Amino acid sequence: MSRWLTRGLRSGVRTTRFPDPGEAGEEGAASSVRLRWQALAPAQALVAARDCPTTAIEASGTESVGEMRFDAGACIMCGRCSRAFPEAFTAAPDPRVSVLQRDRLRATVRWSAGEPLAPAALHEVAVAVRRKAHRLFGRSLHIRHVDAGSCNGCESELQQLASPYVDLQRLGLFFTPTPRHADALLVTGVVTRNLRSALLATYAAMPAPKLVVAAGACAISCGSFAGGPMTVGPLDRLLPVDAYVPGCPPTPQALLHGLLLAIGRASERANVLEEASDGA
Amino acid sequence: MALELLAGAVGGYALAGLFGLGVMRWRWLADLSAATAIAAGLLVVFTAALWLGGARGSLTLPVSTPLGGLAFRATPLAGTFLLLSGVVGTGISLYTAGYGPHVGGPLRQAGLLSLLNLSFAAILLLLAAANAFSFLLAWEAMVITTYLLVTLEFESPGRPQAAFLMLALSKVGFIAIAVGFVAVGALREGVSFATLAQHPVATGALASAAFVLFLVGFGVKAGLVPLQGWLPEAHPAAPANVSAALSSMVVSMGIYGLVLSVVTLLPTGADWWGYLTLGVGVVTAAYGVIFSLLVPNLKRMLAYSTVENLGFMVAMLGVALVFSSSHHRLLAGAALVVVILHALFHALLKSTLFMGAGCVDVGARGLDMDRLGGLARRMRWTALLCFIGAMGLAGIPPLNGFQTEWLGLQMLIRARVLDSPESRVYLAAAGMLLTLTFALAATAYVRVYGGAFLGAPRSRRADQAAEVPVTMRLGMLLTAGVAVLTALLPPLAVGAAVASAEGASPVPHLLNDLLPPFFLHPGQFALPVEVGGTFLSQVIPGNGLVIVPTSFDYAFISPTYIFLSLVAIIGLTAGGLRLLGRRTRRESEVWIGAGGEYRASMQYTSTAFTNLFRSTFGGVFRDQRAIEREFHQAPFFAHSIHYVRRVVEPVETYVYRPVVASVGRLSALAGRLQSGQVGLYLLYLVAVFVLVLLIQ
Amino acid sequence: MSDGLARLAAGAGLELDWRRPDEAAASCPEAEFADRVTELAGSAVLADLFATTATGPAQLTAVLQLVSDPSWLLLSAELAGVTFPSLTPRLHAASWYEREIFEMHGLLPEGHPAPGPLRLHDWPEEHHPMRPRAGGVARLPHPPHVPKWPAVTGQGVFQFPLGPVRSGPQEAAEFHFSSGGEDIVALGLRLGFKYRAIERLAQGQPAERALQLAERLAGTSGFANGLAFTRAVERALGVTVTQVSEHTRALLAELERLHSHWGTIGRLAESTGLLVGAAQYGLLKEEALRAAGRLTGHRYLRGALRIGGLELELGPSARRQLRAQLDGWRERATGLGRLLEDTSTFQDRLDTTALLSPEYAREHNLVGPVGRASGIDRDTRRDHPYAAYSEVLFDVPSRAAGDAAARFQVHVAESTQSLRIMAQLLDDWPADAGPAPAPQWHSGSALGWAEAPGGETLHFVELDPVGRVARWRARPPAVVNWHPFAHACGSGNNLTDYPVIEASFAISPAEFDR
Repeated sequence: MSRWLTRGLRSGVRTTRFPDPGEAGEEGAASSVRLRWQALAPAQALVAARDCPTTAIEASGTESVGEMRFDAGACIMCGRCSRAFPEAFTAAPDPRVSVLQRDRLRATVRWSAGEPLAPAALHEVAVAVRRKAHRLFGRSLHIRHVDAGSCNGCESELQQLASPYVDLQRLGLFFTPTPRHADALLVTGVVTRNLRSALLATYAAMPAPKLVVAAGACAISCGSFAGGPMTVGPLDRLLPVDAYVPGCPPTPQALLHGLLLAIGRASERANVLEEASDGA
Repeated sequence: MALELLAGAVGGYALAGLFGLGVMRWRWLADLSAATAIAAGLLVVFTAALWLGGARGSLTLPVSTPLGGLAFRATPLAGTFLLLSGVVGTGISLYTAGYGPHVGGPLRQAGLLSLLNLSFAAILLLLAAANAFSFLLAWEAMVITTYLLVTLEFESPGRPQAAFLMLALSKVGFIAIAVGFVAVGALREGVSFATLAQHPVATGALASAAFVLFLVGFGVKAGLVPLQGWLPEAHPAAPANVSAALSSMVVSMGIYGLVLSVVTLLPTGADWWGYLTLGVGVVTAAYGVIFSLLVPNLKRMLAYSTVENLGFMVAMLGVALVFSSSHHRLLAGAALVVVILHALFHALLKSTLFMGAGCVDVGARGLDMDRLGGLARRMRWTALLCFIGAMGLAGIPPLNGFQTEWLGLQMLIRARVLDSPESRVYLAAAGMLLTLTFALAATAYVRVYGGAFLGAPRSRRADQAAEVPVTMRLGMLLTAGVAVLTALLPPLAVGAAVASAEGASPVPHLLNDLLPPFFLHPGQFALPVEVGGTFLSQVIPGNGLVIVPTSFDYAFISPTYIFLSLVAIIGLTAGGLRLLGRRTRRESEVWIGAGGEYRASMQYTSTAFTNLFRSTFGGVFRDQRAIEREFHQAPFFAHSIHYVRRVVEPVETYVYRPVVASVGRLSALAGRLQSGQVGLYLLYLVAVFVLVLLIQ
Repeated sequence: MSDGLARLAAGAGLELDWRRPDEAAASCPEAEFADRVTELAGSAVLADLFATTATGPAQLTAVLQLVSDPSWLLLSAELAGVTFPSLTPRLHAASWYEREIFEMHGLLPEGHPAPGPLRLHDWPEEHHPMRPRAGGVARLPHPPHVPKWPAVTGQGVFQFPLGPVRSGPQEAAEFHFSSGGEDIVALGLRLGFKYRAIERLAQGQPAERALQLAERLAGTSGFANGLAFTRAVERALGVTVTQVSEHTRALLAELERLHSHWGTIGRLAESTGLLVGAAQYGLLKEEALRAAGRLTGHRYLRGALRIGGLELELGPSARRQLRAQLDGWRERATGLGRLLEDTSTFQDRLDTTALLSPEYAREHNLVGPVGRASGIDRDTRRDHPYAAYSEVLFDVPSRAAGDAAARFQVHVAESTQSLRIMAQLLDDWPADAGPAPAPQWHSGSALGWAEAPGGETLHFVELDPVGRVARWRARPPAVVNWHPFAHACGSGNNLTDYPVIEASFAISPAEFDR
């Protein structure tokens, strides 16, 4: 046993400083794509919409008049748009991608003959802090995870939350095996027909007050399984969702950000639209 | 006066028996029989109080034989056992008033009532017997009546064999007792127990032989290994009230007989007597508790628990013998008090539990603990009274079992006064084994109560269980109530036991050493007065409420104060929670992982609860398991799977069967002598005639 | 052409149509199908059995592979009606395949002892999702969840339900233990909760879109499944891939195997309470995932594959950085593996736990580390080389014990071999030969395979003339390896050993449910 102790001690401290500002890009890859609208041309928008496998990028119109609708909640990180047009669709590895409302993952840009491409409405950075959740769960949150039909990528990332690099327990977040002790329900996966009743039973078994967090593109928008015969979701059709964590799968730090956001210990970082002057 | 009352009680039981016989013709006689029996029982209780108070008396009937006459006397030793018989007898009679109709038709009820009351009468005569002949006569009457009672439901498979086993072992015991009495010189005209107690006749080897014979003879009724085989067979076979009588009154007679013969009739013996008795007792206790953890039948489990408790009593008797042979009379007296006290407590609680088992049998129509469950909601009174019985026998403070177990272990701790290190080690080892036994006993009772009463019902019968008639519950209430009363008021029980022990072998100041007189002489004790030791002294008469193992240097407890503190703590907590707690509640489904509906089969069963012990103690018995599958085509498509578990009981397999087999072979050999030819028989006659002539 | 397969087929009286040098097709009448397959399965291995009803008349196809031969045989039979004679009575490995055929396509295997549904819970009987006209699913009521478990009787036997919502962040699957106290008497297993109808979704989609579905069949073996699918399409189209792409594919596949195996061993350590071990392997897995993310832009290597090649190139500096990491990983992983073997509290939980005898493994044709730990020495990388595996040297570790300790040892040894393969690939990188031409879409069908972390994954793809998927059959390794799980749990194990058993098998319900 002492050899394990020495080996553990020799590894030193590897834990990330997130949510304190730490190394950018340490996780290796991004959890979500953001739209730098000022670098996007209408032609590019149409091509991206044609190639996007889900409803993440949809466009209508022509090069002279049209609009593009961007939905980060449906992005399955296939990489086509970011590889084709890296200045416009940035896959910056900033894990603070979670939001409190579904609409904040969406953006629309329009262009017409006289006017260049511009967002339909300029969103403000919402400083939404959840006070009540912070008072109740700010220091300690017990999470009950339910797999509602995922591909197991999200579960793999959730298991990495316990690894020393991320270590969610240092922030007062814990996974609990029983819904009776749970404060938050973390759901991954499209809700399949076979798991619908299990999901609802788990939610009913949790005592109030409780939170629901939708993790992953499947939970937010059914991802690549949207419209499938076995898909009942997305999650907010069945349960009231408090936070959305986009990604396919969302990286561990993105999941952390989403959980902290739900309990009011983190804030949303702008929206999916990025100004060109924003940092990378 | 003392004996006259007893004679009245005997007559009352005989009358009740007669009424019982008449039930064959007139059904209403059953109630009259019950009332008479109850009256007799109450009379017995009153008589016992007199005997314990020191009343004397004797009665000799004008019958004389070369083996002695019919003589009866009142003694304090028999007092506690008489008290036990009275209370339990009254309880059982009450219970039988409601349970009788469930045993069978009028014929069987008549048999039950008459034989039961006759057996009670026999027990009373046994306790009053003044010489060996009367003792043996009453003993035999008890044996025969109880045998007939056990065979009452004879058409069920296995029951006649169980009763026969009981009878056979009782015969072996009877012979041993009789020969023992002969060796001691008691079975002679003009010799009574009183004279022998004054001037013991047997010495040396003869006394040791008599001791062993008494141990074996009374050991049958006291359920000592390897003579305990009848207990787990006869108790499930008999109707519940008979089992209750067997397990409380009849086995207590075994203890009474042991105390009477070994302590009073024999002189202070060699120390190996004590070690042998202690060893046998501890082994019996361990054996009983291990099997009580395994068996799924409720009555069988209680029978094994009786074996365990009897083992404890006999072990304490052994401790008393060890101390008395090394001249520590105070400690010996205290150990003897433990024996008698535990006999009283065990009888009260075990009869409650057996009557409870009968209630379960009537209400839920089944005794398999793996198929019961949830009875606490459906049979509230039964559950409550069985809870008292289970808690008491599991040794939970402040109830009865805890007191005697605690006191017994304290006596074992006093082994340091012994001279030789071997004896100290021996007693320490015995103490360890006994402590393990007590812990396992607690587990066994958790298993019983949890399996049968708590949780959700595991079968339809358990689900539809109904509460039993009032008289059955009243009978249980009586015995359980007296148990709780004597637990919470030490002067009652300890006082009675001390009076009996002093009747067997007097020790000065025994009562004051066990139950210090805080109430009577508070000035002598500085410490207890400071901590409130005179609390309740105005209300409760007697020495005090603190039990001490003859010396304050070791420990002391007060069940009454423990009980009052528990009530206070629980009450304050419950009240506080009620005042401060939130009101909102929401009901939800049982959580089993969202995998469908919760079913009662998802609970632990009582057999599964003690599965770990089955594996751990697999050395004592052989634990055999197998999985049998029925399948179509290939074992992969099993459509039914059966899990088989078997336990091999060592005493039955390695002691009884070989003995029976060799007896069978011997009698087969002897049978060859009976060839049936007249000529050969004439030859035998001539040979014997010649032999007699030669000897003369 | 290869000899072994040809001789075998000739012996069975089949005429082979060699579509590719390593893939032969044959057909036989419906009535003879069961006999032929059973006869062939005497010396060959039944790798897959599936039905096709979307493209024309109903057809059964069996995929067979010969142990000593890199070729594959696809034996098909057209079905006239809705039943076919079952292979299960003689060939138990076919049991679950036939159940899936029945529930998905409505073709009843006659003579199958228990043809109940595998993934559909409480559905109306006449509804079969893979049939062409299967629609109106939205109108079906939601399954009420009434499972049927094997009947277990005995004194004191009780049921212990687990799932589908289990303890930590785990996938959904339902287990129903019958226990006598601590031991497991029988285990009822219910999968299919995560059935997303991927094969059905892919029908009619362009191959590129179906590739994304293949990658999301399961997360920790997404690249391997995507690779198998891609190869199936490329073989159907007759496309050859550049050497650089082959090298990169092999490298990325081994990287996936690394993070998957390290995750498995970490979970195994955690299941025995060895939290330091679990944390150490968590570190390794995270480093592997980060390396994957830096190389491809996605930690799980999604979006890297393309029909005909790859979407990215690994530059020299990226390769150098990876190469430098390999040595550190090897040292740590070997040290940890040895330390685990020396830790008696860990090894004692694994010895003789969940034994799968070699005979049992052979009857079920187990694949991957689970099969190799029970003596089945098969590895697709060595037996049917693809990507760049024919150019590297590596061992295929196997054990005969078949218990959890053997599976653990195989996982450790395989991760060491993966590091070895990656080092060889990086040290001997081919020169860039320029971009590959875009594929020309036409109809065709082919088999594609890869060695996923869980074992051999087999995909059969049929394309229509414009390159859309007409039929896609995905048979990832979990489809095979879940089969013996219930039996392995019952062989004298305890309830408390169950987490160890599940961690040592390391099969994903998502991969099975698809």
